[in-house]
Amino acid sequence: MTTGTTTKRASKSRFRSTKLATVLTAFGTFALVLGGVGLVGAQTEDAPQPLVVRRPVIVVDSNGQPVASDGELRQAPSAPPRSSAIMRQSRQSRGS
Amino acid sequence: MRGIVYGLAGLAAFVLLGSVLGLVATEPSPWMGEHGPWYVSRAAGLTAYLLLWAGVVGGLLMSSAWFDGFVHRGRLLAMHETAAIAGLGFAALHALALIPDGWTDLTILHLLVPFTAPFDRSLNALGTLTLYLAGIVTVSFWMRSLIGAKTWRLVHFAAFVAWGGALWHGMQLGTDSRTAWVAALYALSALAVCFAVVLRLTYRKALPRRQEVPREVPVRAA
Repeated sequence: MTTGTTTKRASKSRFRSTKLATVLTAFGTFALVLGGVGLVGAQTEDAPQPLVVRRPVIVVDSNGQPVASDGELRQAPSAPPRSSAIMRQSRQSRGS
Repeated sequence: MRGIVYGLAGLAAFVLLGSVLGLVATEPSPWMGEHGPWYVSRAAGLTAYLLLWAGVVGGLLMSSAWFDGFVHRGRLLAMHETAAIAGLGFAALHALALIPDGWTDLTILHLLVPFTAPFDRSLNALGTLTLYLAGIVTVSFWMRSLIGAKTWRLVHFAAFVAWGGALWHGMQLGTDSRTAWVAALYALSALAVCFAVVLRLTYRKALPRRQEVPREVPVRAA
């Protein structure tokens, strides 16, 4: 009886360690994937794009008077992630 | 009953941790930029898929006789159950982290009610339905005595559907699914499930052998 109880307790604690190992592996995997995705994403998706210098363009009316000017330093829009681009396409296709 | 309480507590802990992580990640960080929740969601989705896969493969290996003598079946059962619960937690985190994210514009309603998402409705609905199905299968761990072995077995078969749904959802909607390592991960995990199914069908649980007990022949006294 005593031996049986001891064995049961030992096996129960062994399984508890397996459960703990599984949970730790899960969090480790998450941290690893998050690190990889975050680092790669920060380098590609969020990285500041180079400044694009545009020539100044002055729009004039028929009398030669300027109506609008355009041409400061502008920052090029950063490339959106793929899913964001797909979402935008689907929105445009719906006409919203 | 005690198992259900532990399971729900574990799930709540995962969701709480996910919310904290999501809130922390909302702040611009030097290595994740301004889109922390987006990366948290992507990483949690991949982790949830891997855990769901581990749960399916663990269950298949446990019910076949392949690992007998190497790994205790109780150990495999512990891994199988814990991986499923953790997978459910990370799937919930995957969905919840999308709410503070500025790129997807998803609300809690879009995430909870299938076919209401503003984009890729069917694929997003597949993700939601997969989460529900995985939740039902996981809860059934502790309901065997209530629903009966036959129904429990039937519900357990839904784990294959949930895993397939998660795979398709990730392959079609996942931002990282076009990268070589994620594509390889999907391919290898699918192969492993096929291998485990074959093992399950060929190496069935060995039945205990009957020991031949020599009959005692009555000896007549002369």
